[in-house]
Amino acid sequence: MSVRNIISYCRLLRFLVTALIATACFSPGVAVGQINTGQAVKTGRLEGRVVHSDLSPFKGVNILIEGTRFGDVSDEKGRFVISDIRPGTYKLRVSAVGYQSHYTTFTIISAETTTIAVTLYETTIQSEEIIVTASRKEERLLTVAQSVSVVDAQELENRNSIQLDDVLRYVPGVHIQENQVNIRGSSGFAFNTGSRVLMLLDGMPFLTPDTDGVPFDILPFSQIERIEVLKGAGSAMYGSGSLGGTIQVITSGFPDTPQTHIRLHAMAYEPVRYSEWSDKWDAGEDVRFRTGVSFAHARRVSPKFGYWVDLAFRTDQGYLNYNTERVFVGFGKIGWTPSPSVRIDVLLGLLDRKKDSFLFWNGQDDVLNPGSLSIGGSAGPAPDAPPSGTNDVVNNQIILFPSLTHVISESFFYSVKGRVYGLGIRPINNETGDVESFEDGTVGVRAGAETQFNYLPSSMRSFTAGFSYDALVAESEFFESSTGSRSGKQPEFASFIQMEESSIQNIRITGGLRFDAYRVDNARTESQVSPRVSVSWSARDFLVLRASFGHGFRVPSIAERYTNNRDFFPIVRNVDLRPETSRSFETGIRLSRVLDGGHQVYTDLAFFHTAYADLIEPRLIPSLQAFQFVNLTSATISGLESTISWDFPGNAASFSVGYTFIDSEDDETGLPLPFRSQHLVVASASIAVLRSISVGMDARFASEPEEVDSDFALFVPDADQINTTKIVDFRLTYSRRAATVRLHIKNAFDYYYVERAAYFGMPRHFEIQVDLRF
Amino acid sequence: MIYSITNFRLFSHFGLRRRVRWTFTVPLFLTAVLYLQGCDGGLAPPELKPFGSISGIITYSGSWPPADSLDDLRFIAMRFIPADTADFLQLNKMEISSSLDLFVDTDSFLIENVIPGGFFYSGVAQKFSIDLLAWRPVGLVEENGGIFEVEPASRTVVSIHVDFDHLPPFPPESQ
Repeated sequence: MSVRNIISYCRLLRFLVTALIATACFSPGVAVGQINTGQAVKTGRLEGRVVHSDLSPFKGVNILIEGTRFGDVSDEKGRFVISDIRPGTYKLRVSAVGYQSHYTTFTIISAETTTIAVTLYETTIQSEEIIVTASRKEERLLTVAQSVSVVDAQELENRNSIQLDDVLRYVPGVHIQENQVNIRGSSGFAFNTGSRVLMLLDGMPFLTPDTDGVPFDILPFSQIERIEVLKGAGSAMYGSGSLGGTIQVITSGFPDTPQTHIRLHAMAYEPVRYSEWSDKWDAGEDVRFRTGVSFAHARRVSPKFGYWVDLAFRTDQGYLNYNTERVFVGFGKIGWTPSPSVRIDVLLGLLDRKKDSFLFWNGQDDVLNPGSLSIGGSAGPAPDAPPSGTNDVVNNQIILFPSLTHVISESFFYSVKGRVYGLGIRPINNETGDVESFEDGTVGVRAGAETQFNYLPSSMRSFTAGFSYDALVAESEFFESSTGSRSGKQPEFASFIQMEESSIQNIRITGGLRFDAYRVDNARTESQVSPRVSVSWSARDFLVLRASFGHGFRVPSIAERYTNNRDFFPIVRNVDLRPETSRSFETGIRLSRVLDGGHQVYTDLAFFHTAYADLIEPRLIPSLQAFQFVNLTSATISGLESTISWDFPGNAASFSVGYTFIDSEDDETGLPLPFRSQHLVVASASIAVLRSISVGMDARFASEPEEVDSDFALFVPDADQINTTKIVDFRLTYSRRAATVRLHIKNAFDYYYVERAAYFGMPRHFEIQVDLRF
Repeated sequence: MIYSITNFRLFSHFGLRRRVRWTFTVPLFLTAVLYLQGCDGGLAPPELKPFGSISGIITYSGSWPPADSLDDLRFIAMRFIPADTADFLQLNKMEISSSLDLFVDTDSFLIENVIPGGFFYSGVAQKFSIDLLAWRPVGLVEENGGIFEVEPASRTVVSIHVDFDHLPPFPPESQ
């Protein structure tokens, strides 16, 4: 990208900013609602009452005028009052946990009181949750223009999720291949290097500094409020990495009453039923265990200060040879509100993990043992030689995310967020077992800051703009820059703006533009401009038609660009790698309705089409006699996704099923992209059998990929053997007062499958989980 | 199943909550059973055929290369004809002996547990640096055009002569 182009983009950005501000200033809606014209404007008042379905008063209901910070909480008679509202038309949200949120439009007339009455109905569905990812601000799931799946805290607990992949396996359109997240076929398999899915933790980019991989372990699982999975390109909002989708993890706030949560869990892996496999590993016929404990405490100490801590420890013997793990994760968050208009949050996280990583098997006839590239004969690894299909390391990570939000007025506030994500990997000497120094491993840091301004001229219109800078540096014995340095650097700058307009009856239009520039190899600057536009039309209160277009890109990770090593495996650096890009279009229809008797049905049908360009894949380059990450090809992925869920009143039962059809094609070869399943199905059901006992079932299906990566299969035996995935889990839950006990049978039918190329999936395993809350 | 769902609302209106739960349970487990019937057990160990083996006698002539260029020396049998040194990464299509002795006049080798099949390009290869692909052939199996077959439960014997003064061309000229 030349300097001239950067200047052109800057001019374009300046023009758009000017145009958007001009639109805001000269819009009639703004003049009526907010702008101080110098003339005295008499405000109005909103009064109301909230009742249950049996007409009894409803206390403690949250009432908020959307697009403003005006709100109230209903008193013991269900009454609420909001004063000093400027004349205009507004949308009101009335919500309470466990109840269907109510939305209504009302008009404030100067010096008059407007009165409304609201009835809230009990519900169990999550479809009305407020989410934030779609446009960096809160909005209803029903009206989001893109496809979004939400996993709430209850679902995390039900499945005893201790790693992110446990959570995502049952999200429609998501396919986990060991440690690689694949949303609607966006990713193949590359050992979690260069994720095409961006992960955010409380709005902060959260990918490992060295490989841009998704960190599966370092999350406060007892303090997660919800996880949102946004499908399709989203770089206009969050920049690099959001090529195929975005995962937003949102941590909990601080409860008014102190809460302590202790969890104990133990899992037993059943030995495989084939002696041909188990005989080749000394522990092949043993029951192997995973055990863990976590402690979390959250409280609001005063109206101004709250905190929570989340500590978790687990050990895992693993069901594969050379696959043991010991993990400690600690998180803490504090929230301080020194004045009504200022809020400060600080999130701190630590991870210490010792892990034998099983990289690839020794063939279909020896799936439990890692293979070896040692040239010592065809009958497997040479005697006494450590298998090269495993990697033993100690991994330390630290994150520090401070943020400040300052409300200047009812229509304007800004936030300043800092982020530091450090990573250190130390190899373990195979012969002595000693942990070697960081110099023999990898060290990386991603540190930066972001400022975001939010301007809400009316409840029908909003503007968001900001800029960010991140320093990204990683050093490894495997990296080599053009100057011969072992460190790779890739600082990034970004600016963004978006606007949302919903003044047209039942239509919501969102547009955004983001400019990203990054420095490569201390030699050149490259940039990306990412536009986004979306429209949703609420044809009925319960029915929304939607369409969206977005641009995505992913800057190559430091590992992809600078890895240069032939000690073990010949890989040559490629500093000239270009970013991968995507353009995704989606249209869909979403329905969420409460039926007679309180049953809630939610369904979403989406058609999507994404065009990818300059996809980066590792390839064997004959002229280099080595592998290299290269911009290989362009591709298109089209398909449809359907989600249906049905929730019964009073948590009596719930049922959901999601189906995704993926049609991928490499534009150059005409063949399907490798490692993509054409059909993905997830289904869940739970039933309250008695007051304190419920049973549940989860199932997932992924069809056999039409293509696999043939280069990988050249040297890893049977790496092209990938079968259909058909997994069913059962769970039984017993709850009494503060205690909940869950029994899980996962992969209940002991179906054997390949998790990803040359990696055997988990056989049947049994788990008991005890949760204590007080 | 259809009967249960269509009558669900009716049960709910009459407050027969528990009955409704079990009404829903039946189709759930029916679904599970149907799913179970569709399961085939998944991945299984491949059916193994009896292995064969390859043994051979190697004779050397000419001037041995310097010791610092003899990082390794092995007999390698390939199930394909290589077009480039990059093809040496096709480890799954090769049988490789343990390291051979250096600076000797004659040597022998034995490779066991060889999956039966045809081999089309085989011989002694020298690894001349630490690079994984820094291999070159120094002597080839020449009988029957270099092609031989390994039969199940039997041993195939080959002979190779290495003349360090006249190394075979690589890639093979016929390619």
